[in-house]
Amino acid sequence: MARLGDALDDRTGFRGPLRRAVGRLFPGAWSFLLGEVTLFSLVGLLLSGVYLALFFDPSASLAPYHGASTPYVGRTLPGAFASVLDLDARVPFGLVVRRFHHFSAHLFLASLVAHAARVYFTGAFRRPRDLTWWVGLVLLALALINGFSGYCLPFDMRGGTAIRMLMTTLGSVPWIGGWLATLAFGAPFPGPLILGRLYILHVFVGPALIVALLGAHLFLVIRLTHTDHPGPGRSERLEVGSPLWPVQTMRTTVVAFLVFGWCALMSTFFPVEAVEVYGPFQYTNAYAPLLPDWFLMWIEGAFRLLPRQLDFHLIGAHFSNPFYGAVVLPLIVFGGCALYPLVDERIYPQPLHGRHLLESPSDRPFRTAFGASGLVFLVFVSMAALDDRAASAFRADVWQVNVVWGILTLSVPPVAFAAVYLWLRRRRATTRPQTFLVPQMPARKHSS
Amino acid sequence: MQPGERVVRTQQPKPGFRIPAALAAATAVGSTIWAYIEYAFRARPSLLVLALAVVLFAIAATTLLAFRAFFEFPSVQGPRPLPVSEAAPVVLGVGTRRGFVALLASAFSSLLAILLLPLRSLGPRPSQVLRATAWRNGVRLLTADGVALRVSDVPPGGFTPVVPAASPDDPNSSAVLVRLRPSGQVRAYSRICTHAGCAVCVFMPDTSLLVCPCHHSTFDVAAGGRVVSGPASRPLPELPLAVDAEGRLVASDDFEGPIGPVAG
Ligand code: FES
Repeated sequence: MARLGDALDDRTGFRGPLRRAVGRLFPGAWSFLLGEVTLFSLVGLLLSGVYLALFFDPSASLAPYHGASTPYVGRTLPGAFASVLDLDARVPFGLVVRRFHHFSAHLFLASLVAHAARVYFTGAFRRPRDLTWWVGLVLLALALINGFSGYCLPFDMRGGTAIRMLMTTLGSVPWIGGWLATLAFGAPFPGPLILGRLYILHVFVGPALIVALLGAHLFLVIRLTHTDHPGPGRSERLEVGSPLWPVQTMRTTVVAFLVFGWCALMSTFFPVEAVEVYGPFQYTNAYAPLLPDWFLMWIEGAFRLLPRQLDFHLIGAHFSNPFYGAVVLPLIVFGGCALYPLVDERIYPQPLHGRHLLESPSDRPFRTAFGASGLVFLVFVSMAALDDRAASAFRADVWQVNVVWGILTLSVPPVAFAAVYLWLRRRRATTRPQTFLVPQMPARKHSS
Repeated sequence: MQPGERVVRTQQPKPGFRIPAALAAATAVGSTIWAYIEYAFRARPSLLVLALAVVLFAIAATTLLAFRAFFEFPSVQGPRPLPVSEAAPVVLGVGTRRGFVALLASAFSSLLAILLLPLRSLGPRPSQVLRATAWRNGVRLLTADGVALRVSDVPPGGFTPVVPAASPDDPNSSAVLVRLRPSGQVRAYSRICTHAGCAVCVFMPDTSLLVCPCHHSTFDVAAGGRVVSGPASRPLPELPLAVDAEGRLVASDDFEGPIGPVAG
């Protein structure tokens, strides 16, 4: 073993970097483990995804089904749907692994959002970590896109509808929309090509970009050192924490097994994405409301809330509801997140070397109020996707529910902003800031 | 960062490896048995996956217990990176070399532009993709089961999805046939919502309204598919109807407008 190590070290010189990596310091707060949840759900996604890819057939062409799923025998089904039926009914582990893939995906996105919120509200995105924040935003966008392409693939009722929405969204871009939709689909909807293209995006391009950017993200975290909460013994000059080996490794092991355990537990009890129940995508069989996955509900909600009166024509282009909901809104949300560090720098100017310690959300009224109102807005827009359920619960017309909810969606976030902002301002004025006696260590030159 | 620079305040606690090692061995044996059962009996996910979940949680818990000391591990200190401000700018060169860089850049960008051209091969012209349907003069209206419809097959207030006999599987030609109350008039419309492309599949005979379940665009079938409420901005295209020599319903032309959502 040691000789093998020596031989490898001779050729690669890996021991120096390894020794440095092992000594990396990690702070102890539990909220810093959210990113690790994301990391391990990605591992779960990749592993289960490889298994699923071995059995999936990305084709929309119709053929009579003679597989293992009894209720469907004899029906004419799209190839993709039939292969998922067989995966569930015939392939050993097929159904479990597919469910596991779904639950890892939900956990991946949920922990990404939670991690981003943690970074935002504690000011961990400040320069020099703004680059890390931007890379993270691209990761979030890629994760959303890959989540979307993933649930399109089985070509069940939900998946097919999602693909139709994709065509609409591409087509809705002013001036170039027709070309975008045509080049993406290559044939009248759904056509023989789109599933194969989505498949390559989902299993190759998306994951490759995600893994590459995740590498960049982690590199930046290591290069810039981890942030930490202020407290006794914490200072801007020194990093305080526990080394990667053995301390952080053990914490990480616990996180990893909790993530895998949770996904396995959920896969046991909850039939997520039961395509057998939804049925294959066919316009003639369409039935009542289908909702996208939770992480795309805000776009679905925007589709419902935005009134058609906003549509207009301009030099040969048509600006329409799908364009506002599925293109403009995401651009505003992601653009706002991307630009925020620059705004924050204006509002809370700080010396560049004073940004390794995190800030309490209650000390930064504007930042906290802005983030909170943004989240409130997203929650309200997402809930608009439940308008028909609300309508039947309150025995009202859907359009009435929509008008009321639209007004609330526009008015509650500003109210939330004002309330949080004024409350935190008052609080800051009346409570004395906490100060810690920080033992000063002599400054060291960073040698690398 | 030099290893010697770190100030370690306390001794590292000694971890006990016996319990995790035993658990790992148990997991290996257990999962082998599990895999055998799954393959041999084609069991559905139930107790077996639950067992896996329990094992995974057990590993997490054991690690946590065995290495509990690590979670209150005394902290160690190391240096933070200092901000790099006003580093010396990269000098690319002057005079002819700058021209050379510009030349290289333009060469590469034109190469890139040429490499974008194959994108054109991804699909035909938009008009061939977004509008094409199979309805022509004389094409019969079939139900989903392939029955050619007569007017009398649809009761007043009735509603049925129809497909063109020429190409029944084409989703873009999918249509709905409604029979109004009280006039008894039959009319057909595209089934593809002009908002985002869902299937319009709810008919309310008392008000003669067709509703798309996705975002509740509502179309007035008695008034040529006019939008009554909801996010759709264009009327639902109507399919002009006729009756052939055998009394079956046929289209007399293609839809009276482009189907589905308009391109931007
Ligand atoms: S697709 Fe019909 S209302 Fe949106």
